[in-house]
Amino acid sequence: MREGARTFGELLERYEREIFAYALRLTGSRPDAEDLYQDTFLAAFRAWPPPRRDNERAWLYRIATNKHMDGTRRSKRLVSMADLRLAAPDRDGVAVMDLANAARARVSDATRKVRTALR
Amino acid sequence: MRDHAVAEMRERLLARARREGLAAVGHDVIDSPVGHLWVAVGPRGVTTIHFGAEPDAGELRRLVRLFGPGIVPDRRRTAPVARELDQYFAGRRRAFDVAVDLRGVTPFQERVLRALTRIPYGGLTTYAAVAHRVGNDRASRAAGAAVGMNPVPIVVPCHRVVASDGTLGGYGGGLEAKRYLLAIERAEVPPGGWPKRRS
Repeated sequence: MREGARTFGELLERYEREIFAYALRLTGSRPDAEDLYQDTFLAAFRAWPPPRRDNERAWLYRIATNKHMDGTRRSKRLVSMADLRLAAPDRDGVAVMDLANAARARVSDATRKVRTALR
Repeated sequence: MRDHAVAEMRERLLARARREGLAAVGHDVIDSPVGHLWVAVGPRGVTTIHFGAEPDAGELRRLVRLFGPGIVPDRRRTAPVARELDQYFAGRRRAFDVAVDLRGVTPFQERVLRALTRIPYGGLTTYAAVAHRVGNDRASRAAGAAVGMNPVPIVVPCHRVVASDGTLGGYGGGLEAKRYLLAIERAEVPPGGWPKRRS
């Protein structure tokens, strides 16, 4: 079996191409794949060393998969302004501004409640 | 994916790693008239110049022990050393301005290596004279060992140290390289090395 990488440089030399290819398959777009590639290796550097020295490749794929799933989950929770416009077209009489105002009112209401509770 | 695209992507990743303090050492291979030189630059300066395209296992272990695993290929970090080495090999540089990071060596080794930097361009000295210079006349063997473990040859000019009998002594990069470096500094080498003693 191949000896584990001794440095981050060796880890990159060995796996950056295949991790990028994997990221490309998962995300389907080049900019997203590059983000995932970066996040994967930075997470690996931070978490170094791999839990099992003889299986760093599987470890990297696991990090990439988890990072991708985290990203997908997060993007499901977030609704972009463009999507908001689609969700609430002006013809229904509700403009994006109304939604934004409602959200803002709710936030300031919540802040007021917190302040009261702390008093 | 094309090589330069990978290189650009890696460069962006390394920039983030550097900002997070995850890449303490950057290295690259520099071509020179004495062959490939593997050069590593740490936070405080040049930390390794190794004759060859790859460091040996011991050299890499030393770097990991001193700096951790954040050792990455990084041409940008080594560029200033590469430039000065190019100038040196072209005969256009007599002293190096890049900072040298000697961490990891013993205080005695450091005294010896600092003494080497004071041997002028084109000058020669002996192991015994180096021992004398660091204040221990009888430690010429120890001084020789300290010269021999110089982690940054060329920049710290251990090639200017020869044996007291006038022969070349040893050199990490091989005697051919030592002869070549001395030739750059002194224009020509007598056949068979340096016959006369100059200490």
